[in-house]
Amino acid sequence: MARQPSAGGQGSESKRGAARQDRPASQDGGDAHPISETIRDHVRAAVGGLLVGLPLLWTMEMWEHGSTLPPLKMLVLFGLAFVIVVGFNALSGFRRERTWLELLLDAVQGLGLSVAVAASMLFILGRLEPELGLQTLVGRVALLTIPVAFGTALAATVLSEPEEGSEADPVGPIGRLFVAAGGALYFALNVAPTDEVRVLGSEADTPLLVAAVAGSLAISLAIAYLVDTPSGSTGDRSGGGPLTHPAGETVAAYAVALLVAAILLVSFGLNDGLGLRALVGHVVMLGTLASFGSAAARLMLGGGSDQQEKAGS
Amino acid sequence: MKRNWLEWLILLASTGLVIGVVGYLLVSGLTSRGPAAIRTEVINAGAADSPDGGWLVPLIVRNQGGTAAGAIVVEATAMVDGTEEASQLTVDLLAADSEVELALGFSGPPDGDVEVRVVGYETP
Repeated sequence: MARQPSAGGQGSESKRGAARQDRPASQDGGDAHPISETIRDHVRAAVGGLLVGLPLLWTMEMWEHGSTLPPLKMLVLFGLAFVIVVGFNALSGFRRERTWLELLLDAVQGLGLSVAVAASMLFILGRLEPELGLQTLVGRVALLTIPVAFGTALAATVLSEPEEGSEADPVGPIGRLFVAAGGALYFALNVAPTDEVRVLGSEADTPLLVAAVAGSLAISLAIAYLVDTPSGSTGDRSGGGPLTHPAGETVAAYAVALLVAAILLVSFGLNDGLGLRALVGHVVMLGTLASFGSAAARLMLGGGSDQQEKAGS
Repeated sequence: MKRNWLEWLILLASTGLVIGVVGYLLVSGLTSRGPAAIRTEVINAGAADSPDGGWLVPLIVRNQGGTAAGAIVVEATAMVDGTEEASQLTVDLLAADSEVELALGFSGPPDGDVEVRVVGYETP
């Protein structure tokens, strides 16, 4: 995205206000972003979008689901991705003078760019033929915009250079769960439309499901401890609430991962005709991937904060 | 920092794209036209022949309903040299509001009209 939204977390609103007050009104008219920087930011965002989105842009099941998913389910997924991208930007951006309106505008800008990138790539791949009908054309673009939008958000936060004098805000426990949901959604989205989910979910017996739950929790717990070490990130552990403890965060992040897995299963219609036992199997098996995604995102958040700290020092 | 003119332009275009996608999904979701409705149409049957001496009948299969259909089995029957012949093809997936062009083969030119029917389909 073109501009980095401000870092969020607890107390960030007051800091935004302070930053706005510190900026002299006379400068408002004369400190516009240089055009060359705007172009570079958008190229970076587009490349980030392709980097993350290309595997799914090349996945036949995604094209098919773009044709068959009911529009309202598609809208729910699109909206979910937008919310998570806004959250990602709010939590991990470097610039501090964003208002919430500007944050939303930045997210719309990033989403619009993602729509253009996804549509362009689908067109190049020959997946946007006119005879497919408007519903399929819009559906495919909307569905494939989701992974591309994650990529543009990541490019804007991870790949961009921190501004001079910027500091990292510690990310609170709710913010970390938000990031966990983003990671879970992205990882699980990569396989949710494939037949493998149906096969694994249907064939897994109870001991295997128990092992899957234990494995998912173990990975998540390992990440939580890794981030919690003194040489790790600036994850805010000072609040004293249940979510600030690694075990609490692990359970909460796993619950978020299972919720994301369930939402994806329903969105892709994979729950149709399933009994409760089979549905649990599907959610748990897809949840293994979602929980790894949530853990990876939390780990990456820690790394990103470290970079911000270094940049600010 | 203030947005420059290029950022405003990109924001404007982005807003248009996002509103377009969301608006279309919302409207088409709220005004659903029900289940799949498969229609077939033979196009210019007399002009088609096959390089191996057979006869190909081109036809269009349309889904005019509001939801997609999969595994659509289309069957064409015609009299060829006094014998009834049937030819069948399966369309893997046909989304709402979309169409696909097929060609069904016979051993020779049909004596009369070619009758086409949809044997069945599944809802994906």
